[in-house]
Amino acid sequence: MSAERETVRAAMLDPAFFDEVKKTPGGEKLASCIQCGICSGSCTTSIAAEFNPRQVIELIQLGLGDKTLSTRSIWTCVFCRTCTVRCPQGIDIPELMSSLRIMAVRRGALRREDRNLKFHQAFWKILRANGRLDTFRLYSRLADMQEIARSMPLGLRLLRKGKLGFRAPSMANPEQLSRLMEIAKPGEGGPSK
Amino acid sequence: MRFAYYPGCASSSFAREHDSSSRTVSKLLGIDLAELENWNCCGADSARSIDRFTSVVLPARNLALSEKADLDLLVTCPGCYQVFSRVHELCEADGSLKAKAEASLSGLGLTYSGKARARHLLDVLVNDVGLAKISQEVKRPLTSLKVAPYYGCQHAGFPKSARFDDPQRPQTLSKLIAAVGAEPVAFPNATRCCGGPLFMTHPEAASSMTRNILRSASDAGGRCIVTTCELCHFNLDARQSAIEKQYGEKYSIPIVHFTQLLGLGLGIHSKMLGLDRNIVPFNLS
Repeated sequence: MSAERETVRAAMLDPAFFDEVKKTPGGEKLASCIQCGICSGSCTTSIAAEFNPRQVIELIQLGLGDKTLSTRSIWTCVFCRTCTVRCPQGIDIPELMSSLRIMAVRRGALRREDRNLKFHQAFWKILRANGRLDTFRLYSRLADMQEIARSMPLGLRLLRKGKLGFRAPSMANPEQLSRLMEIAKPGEGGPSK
Repeated sequence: MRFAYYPGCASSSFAREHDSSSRTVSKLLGIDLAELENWNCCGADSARSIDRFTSVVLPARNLALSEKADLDLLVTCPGCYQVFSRVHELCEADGSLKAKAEASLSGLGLTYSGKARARHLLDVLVNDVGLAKISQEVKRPLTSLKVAPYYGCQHAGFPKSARFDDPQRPQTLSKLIAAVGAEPVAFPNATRCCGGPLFMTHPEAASSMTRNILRSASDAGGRCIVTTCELCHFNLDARQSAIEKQYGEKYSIPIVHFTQLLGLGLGIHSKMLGLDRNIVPFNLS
């Protein structure tokens, strides 16, 4: 899956974006990236991405802020860290991806119906309510009717196998988590209600 | 050998058999597990995508509970293990972040000093219990069974302080397979991603990733695939027939958690290992 060719115009460049990213976790060593591409050769999910990690870093170095924050490539990372283990410059790419995601949400760079955004916001919502995740409730919040219909046979099998239950998994005392969240005060990156 | 046990969300829902097999083999091998009381989700990939500090305090709360019990935290999911290891590294590298996490947790009456560490069950089995002891305990050697060791992607990226295997050429799973008398068969995609959570957000790409694992393990002669991760297990096992249909291929390859394979070798009844919950049936005969 390669990106379409697009001409970069001077007006699209925002040098301040590079400086801003350098100040976020994972961005500290970005200026030292030599574009060797070992991260991209190692990336286990690049097939799902639009830009590989090397290209994402290049977008940042060029100052293409809008492009960086709107590409799905910052959302396809599964935080395995294989790229970072191999990076000769010690750049923490998964940490960088987290920072870019938070930045993208805060700036409203994603459409409301963006599937990546919906996924993480649904996860967050379930987590805050129950303190534990329920993959199937998560899926049902994401999938459309057609997808639900298609996954019905598997759903029934999982139900029969006891892998899927009607009761949502929950902490015995989710109150403890609510208190922690009150103390931790998640930033504005948290989804609006 | 005693640990605070963190089952995690996957083992508490769609991978219950990983929980029951982990408990059963641990008991038999003298690993004493005390489930962490009122544990919370580690936050996985999502907390760190929404708010950084929350992604630190969520796992830190579990580590603080573990510290209270004066035990290390035993986890069975490489994703959770990665999360706990990340928090440890971040807090050790950044004193102010650690101080902020400590302050938040003290509001719950908890202490987080970084003393309690997460350990992965595979690490404990291979390096603490030891392969010699495991081999001695084998009651039913799985002779001539060709097993593909599938580590999954997280295994290749554990931070230095949490590493228990060679990230480039992992060995632990192959050694465990050999210890129960089976034959490990190497295959090229052993540390590539199975598609992970992307099956929910990027289903097309995720399916092709899952298929790559199924195909290369089968091509290498594996008669079953052993996993260390609940989500890998789900993608390869529960979604196998959908992938077969999508690609017009037939694999029918059983997928077992490492604790299930070990349990079989130790002579534990398949029911206690939750083998009846696996979607693709696994019959030894």
